[in-house]
Amino acid sequence: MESAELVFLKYSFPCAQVLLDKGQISKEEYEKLKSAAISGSGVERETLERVFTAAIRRLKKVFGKNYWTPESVREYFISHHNHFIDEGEGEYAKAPEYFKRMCKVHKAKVISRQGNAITVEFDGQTKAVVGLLLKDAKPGDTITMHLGFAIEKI
Amino acid sequence: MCMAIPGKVLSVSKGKAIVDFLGQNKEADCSLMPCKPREYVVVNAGFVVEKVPEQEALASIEMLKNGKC
Repeated sequence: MESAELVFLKYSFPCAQVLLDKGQISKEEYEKLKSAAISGSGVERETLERVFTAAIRRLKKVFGKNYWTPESVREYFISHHNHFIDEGEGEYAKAPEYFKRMCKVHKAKVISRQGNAITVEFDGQTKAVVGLLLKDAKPGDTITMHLGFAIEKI
Repeated sequence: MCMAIPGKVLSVSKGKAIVDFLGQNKEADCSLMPCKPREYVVVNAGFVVEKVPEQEALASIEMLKNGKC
């Protein structure tokens, strides 16, 4: 079974670009998170808690002291994350609409895969997402996606 | 705020776009989401992952320039 660290990293890595653009993490730290997410090696919980403070805060809000299990982390991103965005929690209060749309976690069905691109059916339309984090997606699989990235099979 | 800064596509050639982010030009892979010059896009890990309506993009860039984020 995957660790809470790896599940958390896969769902939160696509946000690291935003943190990099905001100057909250260095290019070096970004590259470390990227290679750990792509290789599946994961990173330490301390690093994740330091870098992704908003997601950790929301995760704790939902699950209290039992927040750090693979099940809690997955359930947060699949079932609770979008509600925080809709409610305008924290930085989402000021976020433009396009950003709120992008930040939501969605489920989609895989149609095909070509190199780094996974084509999915979502909301009645086809869309290509980055497949770097999900190497074994097959047509027919249901996957989650976040900020343009395919995250995992569910 | 400065969330997912939108950039303006300057040119596209062979699946690669040159995108202007606040005056800084960066290359991005647009094979997943084909885009055209003058469109506004969000780039994540080197890939164009989203197109942003011009009005929303300009409003975000304006906020950035005014230091409101």
